[in-house]
Amino acid sequence: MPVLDIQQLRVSFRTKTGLLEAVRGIDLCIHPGEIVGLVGESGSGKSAAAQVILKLIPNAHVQGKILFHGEDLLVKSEREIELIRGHQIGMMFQDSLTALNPTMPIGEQITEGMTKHRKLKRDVAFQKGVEMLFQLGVNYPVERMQQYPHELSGGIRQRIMLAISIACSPKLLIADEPTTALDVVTQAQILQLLKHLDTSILFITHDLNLISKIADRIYVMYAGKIVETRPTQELFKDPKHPYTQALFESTPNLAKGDNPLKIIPGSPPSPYQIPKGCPFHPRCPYAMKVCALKDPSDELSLPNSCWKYHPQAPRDPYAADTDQSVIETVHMR
Amino acid sequence: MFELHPDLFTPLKTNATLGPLLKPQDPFWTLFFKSRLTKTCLALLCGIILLALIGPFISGHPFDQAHLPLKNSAPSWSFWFGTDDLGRDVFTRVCYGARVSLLIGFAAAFIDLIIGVTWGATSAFMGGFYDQISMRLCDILGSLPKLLVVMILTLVLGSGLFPIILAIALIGWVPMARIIRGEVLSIMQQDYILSGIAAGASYPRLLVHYLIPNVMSVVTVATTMTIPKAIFLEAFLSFLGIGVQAPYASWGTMAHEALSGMIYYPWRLIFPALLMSLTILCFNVIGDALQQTFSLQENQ
Repeated sequence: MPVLDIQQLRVSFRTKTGLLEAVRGIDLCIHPGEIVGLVGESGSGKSAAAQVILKLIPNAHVQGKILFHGEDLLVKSEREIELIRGHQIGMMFQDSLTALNPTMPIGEQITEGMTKHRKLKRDVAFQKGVEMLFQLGVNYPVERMQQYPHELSGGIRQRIMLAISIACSPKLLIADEPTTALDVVTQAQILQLLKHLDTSILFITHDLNLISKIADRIYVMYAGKIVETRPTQELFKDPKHPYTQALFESTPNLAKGDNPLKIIPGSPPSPYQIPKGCPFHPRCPYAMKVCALKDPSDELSLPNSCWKYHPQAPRDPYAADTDQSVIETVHMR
Repeated sequence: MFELHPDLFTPLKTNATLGPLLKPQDPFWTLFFKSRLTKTCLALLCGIILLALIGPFISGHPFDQAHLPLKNSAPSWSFWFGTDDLGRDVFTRVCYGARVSLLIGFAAAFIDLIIGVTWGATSAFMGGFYDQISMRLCDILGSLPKLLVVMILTLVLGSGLFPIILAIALIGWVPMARIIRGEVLSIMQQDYILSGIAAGASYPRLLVHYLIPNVMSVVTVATTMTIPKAIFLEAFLSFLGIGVQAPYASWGTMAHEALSGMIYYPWRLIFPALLMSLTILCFNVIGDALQQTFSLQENQ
């Protein structure tokens, strides 16, 4: 049984400008021990999808099912969710300076969950916290436990956030861009730590290079929908959806020496006005007439949620060499 | 000269991860006491409090004993600050006034603190319609002329120390509630509240361990700034004759009584006025220092 099984999740907000649909029906599945990446541009709805799992967005309107070990989290009461938060599902945030309580020693923040959920005595929990920090490669763990967040460096703080989120050995860890605020060396260290945990991880990021190093499977999200789901190796070898292809295209590659940097023309659609049909069609180099009329993700028989892969579609609506060159460059990686 | 022995090029076995511990930062009170002005003002304030406590016993004159033949005498060895128009010792009465003023200052600030924090925090916590209503109520209360409200309140509640404290506190909590509401609102937007919720903290725990400690700095400063306001308001009321009643003394009543003979017997006005100004100055300086220390600590 999967650890987390999200079915047709829709998240919307009622705002002054109108109804904002952040997530428009996604399916996502995480198996035990699996590290799953969720990739997308800013505003694609990936953070909203992650935060809604733990009901962290108070005024969101949520539809669909979030099955955690077969139980729907969305129908649970606030009290029941409280027992799951931090205990069964841990969460790690992007900015460790703002996400740690500045007025509480970090030791207390680490042991908080252990004393609440696992009913450990304070000194036992403290000892466990020290051990955990030691395992995460924090030096002077006993002294650190008494320090406040602002006294520590970014890398150490991020390790402490990790320690807090895995303190109760949760079944699932949601990491919302956990390394974005860090330098590359610390980033690599944190990734190593995450990789060697034996929990399932939902890793949210916008960084393709980063996710390739850690995830087993990747979901690519665009305008509140999942456009492509594949095992990491496969996705990197042969991205199918034009958006994924464009994402790879726009990742700087020094070895290839591409100059100037390629970009995806246009900008992601405003969540208030998502284009009719395929949300990516205004920016898509392969757009056909059908793309502007009907959303390919509604067509279940269609592979890769793109009209390009429909049996009736021409093999190449535009010049043959353009398409070929895209596939070739991707193969070169 | 330094010789490069081949041995120098063998691998060095160290534990590279063990760097020196970060320099521990200055604790709060060290930062607070860095300024000489702060230290002086705190010492002065302690002196005034001490004077209020033991002053009446060391002067050798009861506060309400009249020496009519010695009325309006200038400061001397027997009467350190002189006597008033009934021959009562000004020093003893100033010390008594300090008791009244400090008591009113602290008590009113304390009541302000409790009402203000509860009102502001619940308003921010509940949000929406409740927030709108409670803040508009604050606006209405804040727009009433303070003096008039206090006068009416003292008429209703009767004269005496407690009614004055209550009257001052009842109109003084509005700014406090506004400050707390703003602070709680901004703190509720912080990521650590979200991560606290994500870690499974319950609402009472969030309130006690996440919200309140983080508004404490603002609360402390605001309270320190409320005390002198309350003292000044009491003095003003007493000066108008609706504050502390005879034979009890407060700085305001003493200033009021001294007004008639201001030119001939200046000591009767100068001493209470001086003490009041010093007290208010001290509180303001200390409040300022607290504010600076908190922001220094945050930016470190």
